Amino acid sequence: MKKNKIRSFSDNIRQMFILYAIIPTFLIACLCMALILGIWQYTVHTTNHSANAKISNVLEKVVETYANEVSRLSKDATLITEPIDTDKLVEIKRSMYKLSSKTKYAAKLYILDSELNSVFSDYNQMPGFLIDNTCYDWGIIRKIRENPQSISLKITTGKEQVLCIGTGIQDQEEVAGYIVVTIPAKEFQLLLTQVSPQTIITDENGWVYLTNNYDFQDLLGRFVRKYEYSEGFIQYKAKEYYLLQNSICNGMLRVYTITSHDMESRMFYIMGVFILFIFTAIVIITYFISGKVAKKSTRDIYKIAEAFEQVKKGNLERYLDIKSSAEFKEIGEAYNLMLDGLKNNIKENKELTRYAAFAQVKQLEAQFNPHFLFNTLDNIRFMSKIDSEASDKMIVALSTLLRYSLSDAEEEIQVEEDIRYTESYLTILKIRFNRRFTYEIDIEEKVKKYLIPKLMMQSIIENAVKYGYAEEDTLHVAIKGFEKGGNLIFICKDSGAGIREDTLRQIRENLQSPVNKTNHHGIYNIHRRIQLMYHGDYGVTLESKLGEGTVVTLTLPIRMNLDL
Amino acid sequence: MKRKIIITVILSFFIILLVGYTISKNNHNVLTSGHQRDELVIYSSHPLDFLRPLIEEFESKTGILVTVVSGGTGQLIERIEEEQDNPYADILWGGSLSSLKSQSYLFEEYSSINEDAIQEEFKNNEGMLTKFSDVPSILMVNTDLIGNIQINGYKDLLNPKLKGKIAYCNPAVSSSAYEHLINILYAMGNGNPDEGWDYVKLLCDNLDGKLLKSSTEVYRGVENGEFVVGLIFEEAAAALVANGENIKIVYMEEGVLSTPDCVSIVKNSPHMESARTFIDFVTGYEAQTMVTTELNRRSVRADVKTPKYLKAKDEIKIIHADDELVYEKKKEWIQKFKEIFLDINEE
Repeated sequence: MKKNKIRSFSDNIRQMFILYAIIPTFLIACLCMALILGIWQYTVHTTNHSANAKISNVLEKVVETYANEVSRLSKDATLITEPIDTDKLVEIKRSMYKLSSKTKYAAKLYILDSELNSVFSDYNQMPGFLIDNTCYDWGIIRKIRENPQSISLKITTGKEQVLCIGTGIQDQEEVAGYIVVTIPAKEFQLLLTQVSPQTIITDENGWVYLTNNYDFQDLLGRFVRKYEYSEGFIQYKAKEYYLLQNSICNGMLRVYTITSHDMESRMFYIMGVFILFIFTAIVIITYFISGKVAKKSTRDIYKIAEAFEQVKKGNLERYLDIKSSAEFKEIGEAYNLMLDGLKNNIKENKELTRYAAFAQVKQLEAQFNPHFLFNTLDNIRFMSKIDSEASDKMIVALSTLLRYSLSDAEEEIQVEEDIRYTESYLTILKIRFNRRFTYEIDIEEKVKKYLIPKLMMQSIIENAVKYGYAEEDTLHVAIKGFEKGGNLIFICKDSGAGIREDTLRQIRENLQSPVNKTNHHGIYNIHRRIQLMYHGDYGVTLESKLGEGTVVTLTLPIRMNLDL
Repeated sequence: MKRKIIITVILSFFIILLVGYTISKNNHNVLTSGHQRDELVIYSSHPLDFLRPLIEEFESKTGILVTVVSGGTGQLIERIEEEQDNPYADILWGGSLSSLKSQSYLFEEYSSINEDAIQEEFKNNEGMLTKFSDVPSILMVNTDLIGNIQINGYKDLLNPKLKGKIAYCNPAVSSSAYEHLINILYAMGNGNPDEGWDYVKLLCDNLDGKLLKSSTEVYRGVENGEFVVGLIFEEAAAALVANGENIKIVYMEEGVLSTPDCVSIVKNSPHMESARTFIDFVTGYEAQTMVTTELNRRSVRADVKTPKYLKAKDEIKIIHADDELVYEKKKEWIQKFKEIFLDINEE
């Protein structure tokens, strides 16, 4: 997106780190957890179901086998009506043995007459719940009496749990007797150990027939009523279970299978917390480390960026020294080469400029010489006829001046020395114009040691003389030199004719242009010289009023000859 | 593009979690359909082993689901009293006639269909207190520990060798203990309860500060040898005798008070119809027969014989208490016993 501000390279690397490394790993870990949880739940579910099915099948088959036997025998009313002879007894017993070995679960057979007296007993002792023949309507007998034609099932909970399968013996629409098969719960005890989930077998009201789990029983020995009709993952007494129930034998028996997964769910919980903890730690660590790594791997980029920043500011001395990787090394070397090239270019440019400026200055310096020389020589010729002493003086001054101007040694000279030569020049002028020319020089003492371009004052005085005599007879030139605001200021004030306003404006404009467009060379040349030599807010300003004279102000930097 | 992939991954992740969660939630379903059955709540002070076969048969026969709250008689009555405005219990099963009589206002009037078959002395004359069984008070003795000490009646309990070895329960919390207190007052006062208190003092002294909190503690205490002799009701000891434990029942020679225990419908019972069915069931011939043959109790019915191994009633010196007086004095006597017991233990 455009509105996002441009991030730094190391931030990008860090973000990539988090986005493509941590988040996917975290998601995959969570997914794996969920997958494991799902598979585990499925396993619990299937093992429980298969265990339940196994026990239900066995139980149902056994009950069905004996129920068939009971109903087969019940068809035979002669069992009650006639005494049982030996053959019949053996036949009944043999059949029971066969069933026992077929089902592998032994049962006892009892045949009672309508008065509950034993007609046939598989066992020496009658069980307690069948003993008392005074009590009809209790337990299995009551159930048979309620429904004599069909098979009744009843669990008796006494000292031991016994499953009774019974039916009535019908004789001419009357209940003539009862057949009961009993299977003690302990017969199935081995079966329960063959499956991993815990099992509870109850009757339709939840009374426990057989169990190897005692948590899900209430005080009276019933399956806890709250979960009687529950299935699936449940919580009971703060523990986790998977519970499954199955109704068999027409709903007269129920098989519950219970898998305790308390340990597992606690383990999952701990694992979840653990993984979360580790990931939090990893996220925190990578958050900091990724910053460092990113910084480390992008250190060279920052070096390069910083070097470019320095170049932008004009510092060309910032070289790169990168050895971390081949690519960056290449960049660094190329950069260094580029920097060297740049520096060479700049140096050459500077030299060229200096040569040009020097040539120009020389040319500008030379410009006043022929006029002055011609005028002075003409004067000397004239003066030699009138006043030989004066002409002699002029010749001395001129020669001093010429020597000075021709000496190329330095372009700059101390103020006091320049003033000395200026006075020579003024002497010449004084002799030439006599009373028509007066001058005064006022230079501050401390200014005298400063350096200025030589022959500059002469040009200004020359200029004043050149234009000052236009309408006046006499000319007074005052020269002042002082220090002001960190600059060296020279003022040359003349009492000449002044300059017309439009001419003045023209001259001022001309001073700003790099090429002289007028024929006023003097002032322009000085200004140009100063600008070329010193670069900056230095140069010549001009003020004048027609008929009142002209003020030329020179502004120069303060410079001292450090050799002195 | 990148963003889309991330969103897809996260979304699919959440969908997987959601699906997994709903699947595991769906795995827990309660199969309630078609199982709206009648219910019954019974508060009972009978031992659980005693309740089990009767309730099992009741549930099987009627299809009514029974919830049992087990506790001492005093404690259960207190609870019923607290719950008067919004009763939870339907039936109070257990508790002697004398302990219930004073609080008969807590119960609903009901005359069972078996009332005609009940012995004359156990008829429901009060209207709300149907008698369930005949419970003589007896002494149970641990034959392993008794040695040469002779115990034939109350007077033998004052033997200094038995000091601290007598299991007796606080009559304020157990109806069987209260029965014994009445029995003591009448037997030792020769028919005048006021004269019996001297013996009570001596007995309390020989208890050596040990007063138990429920009748269960009494017979368990004697059974496991913590005590040598216990003051208890016949059935608790008889069950142990029938189990072949080394326990002997002693009918006090000074006289045995035999009071029936009751089964009553709690006033404004939430399952009135089931409660009536239950009263009819426990007073019925079959249940009463089971009570005598399997559960060692004396039936209140005239047509059910006493089990052979319990001493016939005419061989025991039976004494009778003045029901009216006992009813009147219940609180006073319990208080008096408490004072005597505390006095002796402070000394």
